[in-house]
Amino acid sequence: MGPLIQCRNIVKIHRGRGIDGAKRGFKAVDDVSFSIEKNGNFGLVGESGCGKTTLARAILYLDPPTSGKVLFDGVDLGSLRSRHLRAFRRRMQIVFQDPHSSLDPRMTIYDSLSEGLVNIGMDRAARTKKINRLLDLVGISGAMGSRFPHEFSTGQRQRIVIARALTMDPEFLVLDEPVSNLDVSIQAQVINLLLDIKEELSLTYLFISHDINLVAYMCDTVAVMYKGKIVEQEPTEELFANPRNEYTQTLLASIPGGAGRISGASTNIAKDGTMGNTASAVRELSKGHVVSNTTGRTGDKPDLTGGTR
Amino acid sequence: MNTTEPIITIENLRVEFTQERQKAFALRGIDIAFYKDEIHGLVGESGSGKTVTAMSIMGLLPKPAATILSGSIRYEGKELLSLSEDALRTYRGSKIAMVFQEPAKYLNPAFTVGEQIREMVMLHKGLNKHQAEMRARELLGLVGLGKDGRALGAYPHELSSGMKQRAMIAIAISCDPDFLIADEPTTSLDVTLQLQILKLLKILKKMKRMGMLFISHDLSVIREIADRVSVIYAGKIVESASVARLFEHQMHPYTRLLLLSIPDARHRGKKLATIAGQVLDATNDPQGCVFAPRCPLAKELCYRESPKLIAHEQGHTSACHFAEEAWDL
Ligand SMILES: Nc1ncnc2c1ncn2[C@@H]1O[C@H](COP(=O)(O)OP(=O)(O)OP(=O)(O)O)[C@@H](O)[C@H]1O
Ligand SMILES: Nc1ncnc2c1ncn2[C@@H]1O[C@H](COP(=O)(O)OP(=O)(O)O)[C@@H](O)[C@H]1O
Ligand code: SF4
Ligand SMILES: [Mg+2]
Ligand SMILES: [Mg+2]
Repeated sequence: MGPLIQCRNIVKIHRGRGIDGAKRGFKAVDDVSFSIEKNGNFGLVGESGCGKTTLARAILYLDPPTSGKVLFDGVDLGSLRSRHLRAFRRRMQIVFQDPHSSLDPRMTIYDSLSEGLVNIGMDRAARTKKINRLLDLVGISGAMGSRFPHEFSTGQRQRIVIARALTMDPEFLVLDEPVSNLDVSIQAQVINLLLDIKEELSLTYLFISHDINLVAYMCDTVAVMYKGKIVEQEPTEELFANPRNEYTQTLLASIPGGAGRISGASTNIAKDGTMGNTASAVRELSKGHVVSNTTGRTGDKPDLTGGTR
Repeated sequence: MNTTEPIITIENLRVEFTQERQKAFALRGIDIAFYKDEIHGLVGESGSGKTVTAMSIMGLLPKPAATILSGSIRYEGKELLSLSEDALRTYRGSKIAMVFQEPAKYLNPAFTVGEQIREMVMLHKGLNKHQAEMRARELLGLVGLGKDGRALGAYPHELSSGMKQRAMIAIAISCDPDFLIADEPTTSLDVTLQLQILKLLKILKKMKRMGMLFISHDLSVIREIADRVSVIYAGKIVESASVARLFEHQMHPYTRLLLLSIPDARHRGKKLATIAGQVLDATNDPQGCVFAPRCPLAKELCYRESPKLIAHEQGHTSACHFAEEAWDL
């Protein structure tokens, strides 16, 4: 079917003061390339601060990449003037982690969902019809449209945020930790909803999470991000059955209860959890199976052996 | 599973919060027993009463917002709820200690990690300066912060989140408590760090022969670390069993559904089981089963009568009228 999204050598440098107070640029995304097929469900997994959100915002041109290219349906987003870019942006939407901060507390649900539609000049009758249909799709009664965000539970709010992302009929949805803030018993409702609407509306997903179990359940391809780089990317089964990168192996080994739950995969993990400091080299082992040796991990290095006797 | 006497026994504990004249029923009568040498996992969704349970044991419930309506908490047979604040303070730290979800909030930013440990052991164990210094080094070594001695002189902000949590653990175990409470100690950590902390706690339990209450909202974490599990829902313990038994066979529909709703790569593309509706609001005080509004098996009896926590075979307890029936969920 061909790729909907192609990222080529994306680099994103955050300017300004870092957390350490230093005034230099910080390379949050470091030379990332991948493509997402139309109707694909692409998973991006990695620990906090590794650059997932930064990468997502760069792809959507909310914070354009410092260098590199994003092709959406074959069109280089960097080559577009702002008016054209805006038209393209409608075709891609993002759902963030925190449903509390992503809805305006002073606006009714109906008004929140109307905004984009008003901007494109849709009349009220058509708007109402569309909003009711979307709310219905996410399991919220249209009659509740006149209510404010605080009158909804966290799970309901996240469903409303999803409905809002769908108002512009996007083809591509970035889901940045969409269930991380939800209770266990509510997560499943939202995950099912996301799978349903993907099917029904033929959407393409970039699904971001730190939870490798969840990504493996949702996605057909998984990319593992570590310190700004994609260190390994492959079809889900392959990644679990045969992780090549040391960091991926550690990640799989860290799944509580072991990775055995996942497709009976056996992983060969560095026993003490430590990883070597190998020079970076990206290799393509077989088609679509890219692996890099980069880890160079510092900081919280597993350190149980030293002091626990 | 455990034939000795429990270290801590909680019976029919009911705790209520009053806020702006609204009453929130945080604990609706819970029963739970903790044993030496055993990690007891407490699992439940946010607001289910996990932290309130922990704070009740520690005697740290916020006053006057919280009221203990009834119940008892006994430590080796001694009633804690009737102790004076002074008497309680000697229990805290030396007999019962706690590791909090956000270590940053409980570490004192103005003192180095070493100073904080030294103060604890000089106060509670009567060690002199030199002994306290030795003890601090030993403890930091124990939690894996000993290698270069850097942590000893470090202020909390100089440590990464994983190191902070280790420092917090070192402080908590500094006075050799018999019982350690860990309230979601890994929830704010990345998975790779999480596993290290879980391993550390397991090793410490073995070495120190402590009893432990380990709180989490994540069943897979509980499965990894606990010996016994209790499931809490809306301020009620709904089920309790050994880890092996609970994951094999559930005797409460809530637990069963919770397990079925966990994503698993083997079932990619298939729908997850869901639990309809929302968690019972703490301001509600239903006459019957707290899970009834969401339970696919609920019958008229369930709304009328609150099920008691009843023991079945192998020390497996369940608070469901139909625990022994073979339901198909
Ligand atoms: N506006 C900014 N200015 C400076 N540094 C930033 C900025 N935004 C992010 N960073 C840094 O870039 C890195 C990547 O951040 P990012 O938010 O992309 O991480 P993430 O993978 O999404 O993490 P999480 O899982 O916690 O959401 C981090 O080190 C972060 O501190
Ligand atoms: N300080 C407080 N004031 C009012 N209500 C509280 C307070 N602390 C906890 N509660 C209520 O008690 C119930 C249980 O809370 P808690 O034990 O913190 O849940 P969790 O299982 O997430 O740890 C909730 O309904 C919560 O709103
Ligand atoms: S007592 Fe009734 S409502 Fe409660 S869990 Fe059992 S079957 Fe469901
Ligand atoms: Mg992020
Ligand atoms: Mg809590």
